[in-house]
Amino acid sequence: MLSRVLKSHSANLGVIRRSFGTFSPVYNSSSSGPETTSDDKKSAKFSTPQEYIEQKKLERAQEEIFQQNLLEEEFKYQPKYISPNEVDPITGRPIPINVELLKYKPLNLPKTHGHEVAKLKFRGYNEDSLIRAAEFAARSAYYLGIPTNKITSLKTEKRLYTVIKSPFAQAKTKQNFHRTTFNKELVAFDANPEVLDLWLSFVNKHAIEGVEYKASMTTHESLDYNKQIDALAADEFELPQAYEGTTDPVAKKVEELLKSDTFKQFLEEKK
Amino acid sequence: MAVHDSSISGPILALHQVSMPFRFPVTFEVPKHCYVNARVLRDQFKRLQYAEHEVTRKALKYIARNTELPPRARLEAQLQLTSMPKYTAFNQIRDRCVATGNSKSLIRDFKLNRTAFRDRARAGLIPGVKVASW
Repeated sequence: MLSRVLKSHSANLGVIRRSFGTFSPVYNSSSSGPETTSDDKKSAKFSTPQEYIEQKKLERAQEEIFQQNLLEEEFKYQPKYISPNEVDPITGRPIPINVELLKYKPLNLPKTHGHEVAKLKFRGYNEDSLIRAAEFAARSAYYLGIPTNKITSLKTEKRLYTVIKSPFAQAKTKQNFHRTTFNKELVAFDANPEVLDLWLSFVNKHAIEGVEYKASMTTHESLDYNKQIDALAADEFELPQAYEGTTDPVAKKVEELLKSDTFKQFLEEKK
Repeated sequence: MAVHDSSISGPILALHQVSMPFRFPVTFEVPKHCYVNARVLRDQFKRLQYAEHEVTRKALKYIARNTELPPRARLEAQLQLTSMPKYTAFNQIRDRCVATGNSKSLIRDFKLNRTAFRDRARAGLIPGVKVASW
């Protein structure tokens, strides 16, 4: 239905229907694209509103037809593998696609709403293991259906240590050392808490040694959150009761001391 | 380890009437994670003692500093605090080199003395540390 409408529409506009193959690739579009004269360029630059609208219409129609052509024609599935996709003689199967994907940068799903739910930070002295850890997290997020952004590098820290090379008389001679700490970040979006929990615990389970993982989660509260908090403190606390059931050992010791005979007499004196 | 409980919760006068005074030698666990010499052991002893008396010290300090409490109670707490042995205080603890036991020019990030650190760093034994050049 849509294609028919488009066809009639394009006929009116004078768009020539082209098959997918005839469209030149993007990278050499400048060399083999439709030739434009200097007059055309000039008019393109200073077009009247009417002309501009027409031009946009044409572009849009062309784009839609292109999209249609993409759907109409059948493509031969010819994925390009880095390694030859041979059948393994032992298992009798080709290498699975997800194993092959390990040789590529991790895929990430598009965001549905763009609400940030978690931020994973990686920190370590070895950048390779850091990349390994971050990519593992990104891949597992992809397979769990969590949209993420690309792994971003944060600022690399360099801490300098200056020590004297030899003691006493030659103490002016120093040697500098530095420790490099790399930082990477992965942000997850739109996942519900259960899935997020699953993901984070999975990442935690397969954590690599030498990488510090830090996850911060963002949750959403209702607008009456402050009222909920206020309601908690609605019944006034009396001080002795407020400390009831505390697990703090210092607080317990204080209580014990104040109840001892020595302190009791001083406390009673005041009253 | 000898139990040192010189009636800190009782009145000060009672301190002198404690039957068995605390005395050295005290047996305690020798640290296994580091180089050991006499000074390291002394420091280890202070650490253990501090850990043992931490709660009491903090409770007494809380009472002594609490302006809501009557002055006499606060004074009592302060007196009890000062009557506690010195080795139960945190400020007696000094960081020491794990490799040599030295306490001077210690690099805290690695718990190493400057020479121990330099040797290890040059040998590439400390993760992430390199000879800097810029």
